[in-house]
Amino acid sequence: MSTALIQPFTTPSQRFARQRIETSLNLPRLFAAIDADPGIVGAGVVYIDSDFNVITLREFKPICSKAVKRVILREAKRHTTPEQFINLVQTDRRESQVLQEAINAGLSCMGAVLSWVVMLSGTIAAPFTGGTSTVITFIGYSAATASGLQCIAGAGRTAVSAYDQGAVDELDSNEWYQAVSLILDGMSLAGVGASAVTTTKLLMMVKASSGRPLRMALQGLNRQERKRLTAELLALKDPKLTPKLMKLRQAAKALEKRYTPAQFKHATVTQIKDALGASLGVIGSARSGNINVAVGLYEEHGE
Amino acid sequence: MSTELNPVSWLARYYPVFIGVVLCSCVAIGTAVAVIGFSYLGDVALKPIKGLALLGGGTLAGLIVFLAHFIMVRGRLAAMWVIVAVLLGCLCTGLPSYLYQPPLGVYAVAVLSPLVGLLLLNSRRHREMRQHWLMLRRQREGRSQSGR
Repeated sequence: MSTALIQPFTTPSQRFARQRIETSLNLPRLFAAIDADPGIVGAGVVYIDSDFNVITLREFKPICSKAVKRVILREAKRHTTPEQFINLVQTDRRESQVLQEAINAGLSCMGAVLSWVVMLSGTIAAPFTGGTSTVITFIGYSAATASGLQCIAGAGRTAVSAYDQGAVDELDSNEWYQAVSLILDGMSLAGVGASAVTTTKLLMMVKASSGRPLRMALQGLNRQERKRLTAELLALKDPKLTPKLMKLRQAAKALEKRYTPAQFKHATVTQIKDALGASLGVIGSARSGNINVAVGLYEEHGE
Repeated sequence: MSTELNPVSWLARYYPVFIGVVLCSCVAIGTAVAVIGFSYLGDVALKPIKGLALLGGGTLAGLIVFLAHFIMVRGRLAAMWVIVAVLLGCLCTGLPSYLYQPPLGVYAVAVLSPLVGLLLLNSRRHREMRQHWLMLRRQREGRSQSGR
């Protein structure tokens, strides 16, 4: 009766199934077994019985991670042997897993496409800014490397899952593999952090030095504004640059006095592409498992 | 002077070829690692060591290719041959795996991706782009010498 009150839309079949499962399974023991694994403490438990009734035995509690994790128990159909059932479940997953790995790989590679464009445009931008300092930093290179490695890993995982999808699960269960993918995620997330910080800094600086709203900040500035902004940009690129040193170098034509609008816009576009590429890198890593960290950062970045 | 270069149209013209080589080498390396692990070393049972070695090898190959790209972009064109070597290595890994009857899709990717990468490296646009990098490097060096 109480279950009927809690879930008013359950069909009689589902109610019976729930009663049957709750009497036939030792639920506290099952939950204790799940909670004993630190990786899935508080994971939700869903049971799919032979008639495809989906019964949530326990809701997810955000103890192990913020991302929702569920343990799904699926009952064998009647009139199938255990071997047939194992075969069915495995082949069922196989095609979807290859496809999913391919999608993950595609996302990682999209991230790589966008991070590498930042790297490349940074290097070709160098002569435009008088060969002083490049827009791109060490972090840009490492984000490009990390997203490239994620692309390699995605391609490798797709190929491995085409051979044997159990191997991918086995790979995921290895601690060293988790550590490696965590490091890679961390590296591309460092790219996110850096690009988000520099992009925000750049935009706030444009606003502060020109007094225009952000939307208009990208639409061309006059000569004085460009000069002020160039000084700010140069200081941002090289924090060691004191105003006096900057003036000396500008007099010696080693540094730009003021960027032309085209150059300035290119720098801005580079920053925006940087931000875009970095957030796509996050989607890639979010989908391949390291969800809580990536999503948290992704939301923060989206603000 | 280099100011004649418009970065947007430059990227629109050359970036697809550039990133094509990067992506082809990524896919080629990833697939080659899987092919080695399952076709050639399929019977080797030392799982953690094998996995670590393969992953380390793939990462190393990737780092080498990326480093070669970074160097090439800075105008040292000889680094291109490193990329060629890695792609040829991937091709040599993929081709004979036919004897082990790999899944058709994997075999196709393992053979095609290094070939496409080599084709793109050999394309006219990539050659033009490399000449640009060389020119930019000469400009940079000339400027830094005159600055001193």
